[in-house]
Formats: sequence, structure tokens, C-alpha cells
Amino acid sequence: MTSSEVARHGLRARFDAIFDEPRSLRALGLLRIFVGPIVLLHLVPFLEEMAAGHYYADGFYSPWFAWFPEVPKNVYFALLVATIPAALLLTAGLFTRFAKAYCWGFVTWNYFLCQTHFHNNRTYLLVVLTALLLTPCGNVLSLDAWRARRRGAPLPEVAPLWAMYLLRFEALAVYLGSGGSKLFEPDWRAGIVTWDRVLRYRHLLEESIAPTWFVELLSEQSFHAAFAKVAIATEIFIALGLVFRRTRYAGAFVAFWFHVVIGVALAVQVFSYLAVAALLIWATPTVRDRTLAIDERTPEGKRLARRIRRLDWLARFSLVPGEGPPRLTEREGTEHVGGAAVARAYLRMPLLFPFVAPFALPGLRRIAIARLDRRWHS
Amino acid sequence: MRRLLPRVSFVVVVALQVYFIARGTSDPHKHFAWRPFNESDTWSADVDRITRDGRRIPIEEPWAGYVWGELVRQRGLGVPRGWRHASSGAKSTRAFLQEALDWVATHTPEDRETLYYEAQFHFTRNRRGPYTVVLRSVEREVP
Repeated sequence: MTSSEVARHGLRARFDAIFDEPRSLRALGLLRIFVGPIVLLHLVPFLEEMAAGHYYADGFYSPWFAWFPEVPKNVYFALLVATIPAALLLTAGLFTRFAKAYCWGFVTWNYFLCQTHFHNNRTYLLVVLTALLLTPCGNVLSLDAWRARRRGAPLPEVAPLWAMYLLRFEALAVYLGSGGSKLFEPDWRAGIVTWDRVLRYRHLLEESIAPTWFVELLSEQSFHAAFAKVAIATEIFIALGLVFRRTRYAGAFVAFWFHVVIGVALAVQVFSYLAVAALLIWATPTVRDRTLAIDERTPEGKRLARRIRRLDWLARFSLVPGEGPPRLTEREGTEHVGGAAVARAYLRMPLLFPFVAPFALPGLRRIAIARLDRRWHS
Repeated sequence: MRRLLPRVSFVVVVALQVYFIARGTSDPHKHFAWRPFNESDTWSADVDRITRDGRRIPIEEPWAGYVWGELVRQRGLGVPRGWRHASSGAKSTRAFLQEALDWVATHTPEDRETLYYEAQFHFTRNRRGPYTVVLRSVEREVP
């Protein structure tokens, strides 16, 4: 075989693996838990309309398709309200197949009832719900799984994850579509778009706790000329960073804080919550593939083991009894001891990741490991 | 079939997404193109009813038992007069306003004097303008 044939064969094998190879459902199970409240939050504007006695067809509305099925107002309200328990069931993982089908069904139907319902955050919710619908995400971290274990017939915790890889592609489309379109828009690159927006809402900034110098800085066109380029580069960096394993932590870290900032600064509805939750899909879909040996006879060891058990939501670690300082054996066999083991373990905890990730940088890593090491040697 | 369906779905979704991203440059609403905050536009509109006898009456005045703000409540179109931010871009607002004019023209059976609706749609785009375009509804059949 020539080298190009080998490459083609390798590519084909990787593509087939997406559809055939069973991988861990853990990340999707965790995503399912977070998506329930996000569905509820996304319903708020529709529930407010309902409380005022209105629905979309009371006045002008713009159907996507003339043939799309519609129902009378009272039935619409009943279907809307029924989404609340369905979203709660989705999070709890009880009757998950029904709950995810109902949530997907209502969110999709409601979205396509009227073109004015279109918003990017709702589109992304629809995409995420579709991925959950297409995978048995209720088999893990769910009451369904607990009930099945009690019956003595545990549910499989692995499945082919092609829908998750499709969701990864969609996530990349979000960042590349957004960053790319801004890159090719001269007004955006020049900072005019963000500058104009800040000037229009400057009165809100002046009423806020922001110091005067900060308001003045944000109102400068020259600031936006630089800021716009940073914003575009950030979105493109997130996309490229998430694609490659070596840069994935950096991509996920930047994405987290990027979404926090836009969630605070802009009216993006549920987008930030959803985008942060969806970062879970970038975790390698395997579980317990690292071993963490901890000496639980010491108070420090006991505390660390408890912390790992509570925060290892993606089940990265297999905890085993150890002696002396903690010892982490990575997937490929490399070992880390003491502070280095603890630092690497914390980096894999979804809740700690956004705060500890900078300590993975070479200079900061040395300081963090030295501090953690002192704990184990004192 | 079980083996083929996921593969076909995967490829179709990827192709459709690429198509929608490319289509985003011409679609006023940028459906599925992932183009949030692409512009900083503002808009305002003066919407009038043009009656059979040629009078031009602002829609702020209720007519034949209808109130514009009750007929059109979406996307800030209920109170069209007065400058405000076009959150999805002026092109999107303009397209919805055109549809709203047509919808009102065809959903107000008690009105026996309006021939059509007309809007002077003013907008700015990224600090340029203001520009004005005239939008007109379909003509009504008035008995």
C-alpha cells in the first residue's frame, strides 16, 4: 500500500469507529442532567406569554412551513406546561426515553411554529437535544440506571457515539461560523460594531459600578479596534483548540470564560449555560482509565479521596489504596507523584477545571505543584 | 440499513450545516448560520394605513376595533416608531415588518376602509446612515 492509501485506510477506520465502536456515555449523561434546567429556562418567555394569556398565533406570526401542524391555544398551553415535568424527568433520568423525546418534540415543534422563535441559543438547544435523543444517555447517572441495577439487569454504559461526534461538529460550526463571519466583515474587524454597541448602551455602564476610567476606555474607538481582533481570534482559537487533543484543555478553558463573559455582558438567553455544559462532550469518552492510589489512613489522604469521589463526575479515575503521597498513573502509563498527581487529578474535575487549568501552564505548574507537595511532605 | 442510516445522517447534517453557513451571507435572518452579533443596526418605522379615499393614517390610531400593538407583538414591531437596536440586524427586522404588514392586511376583516399599509423603514448600519426604504403590504379587497 502507498502512504496515501494507508492514510485513506486510517481515515476510513476512524470514520467507521465513530459509528461502530462503543464508547462511554458518561459525558452525555452528565450533559443530560444540565440540559433539563436549560430547557426550563428557555421556556420562561413562552410561560410569561401564557401567564399574560397570549400565545404566538394571537397576532402576526410567520410560519416556517405552511403545512406545519398547529393546535388550538389551550392545547398549546397544555403541551407547553407538560414540558416542565418532562425537563425535570430528563435531569433525574427517570423514564428518560420518554422525557428526552418529549423535550425534543416540544422544543423542536415550538421552534418551527414561528420564524420569530428563531434565536441561535434555541437552535443550539435543539441540536443538543437531538444528540441526546439519538444516544442512550439515560443509561448512566440516572434513576433509570439505578432502578435497572436494583432489578439485577444493569443498563449498558457504552454505545456508539456518532451523535456526540456530530454534536462536536456542530459546536465547531458555532465557533467557526461566528468567528469566521466576523473575520470577513470589515466593520467587525475594525471594531465599529462593538464600539457602536457600547456607545448605545453607555448610559447603562455609567449607572453601573464600573469605574469612570473603565467606561471611558470602553468608549474609545481605538480600544475596539484591538478588542474586535481579540474577540475574533478567541472564537477561532476555541474551535481549533477543541479539535486537537493537545490543545483541548486550553480550548475548553478559554471557551468557559468566554461564555461566562458574554453571558454577563450580553443578552444571550440560555446560550452561555448551554455552551458551557456542552463542553463536556470534548472529554475523551472512556472511564476509569487512570489510576489514583491514595493512602486513606492519613487525614490528608482521606480528604483527597473524598474530594475525588465527589467531583470526579466524568469517572476519570479508578481509586485504589496506596501508601505515601498520592500516585497517579495516566492512561498511557506515565506516573505522577504527590503534588503533581493531585494537580493533574484536579484538572480532570469538571467543577474545578475552569479555576485550576491556568496552573497547567509551565511556570504556574511548578508553583502549584510545589505548594501541593508541601502538604504531602509536612 | 442500521449500519448505513447513521452514516448517511451524519454526512447529510454536515453538508447541510456547511450550506447554511454559506447561505448566511444572503439570508436576512441568517437561519442556522451561527452569525450572532454580526452588525450594530438600529431601526425605526413610520407605519400608515392608506385608505380607499387616499388618506394616510398612522397605525398608532386604533381602527375598526383593531390596535396595531395587539396585532403585531413580536420582535419589537408592536411599537415601530422610535429608534431602537435591531438585535438580529436591520435586514431581519425589515423582512419581519414586511411580513407583518401583509399579515395585518389579510387578517383584519372588520376594516372596510384600508386599501394597504405602508411603512417608511429607517435604519442605520454600523454607524452609517440613516437609510430609508418603503415597504408596502399586499393590496386589500375592500367591499
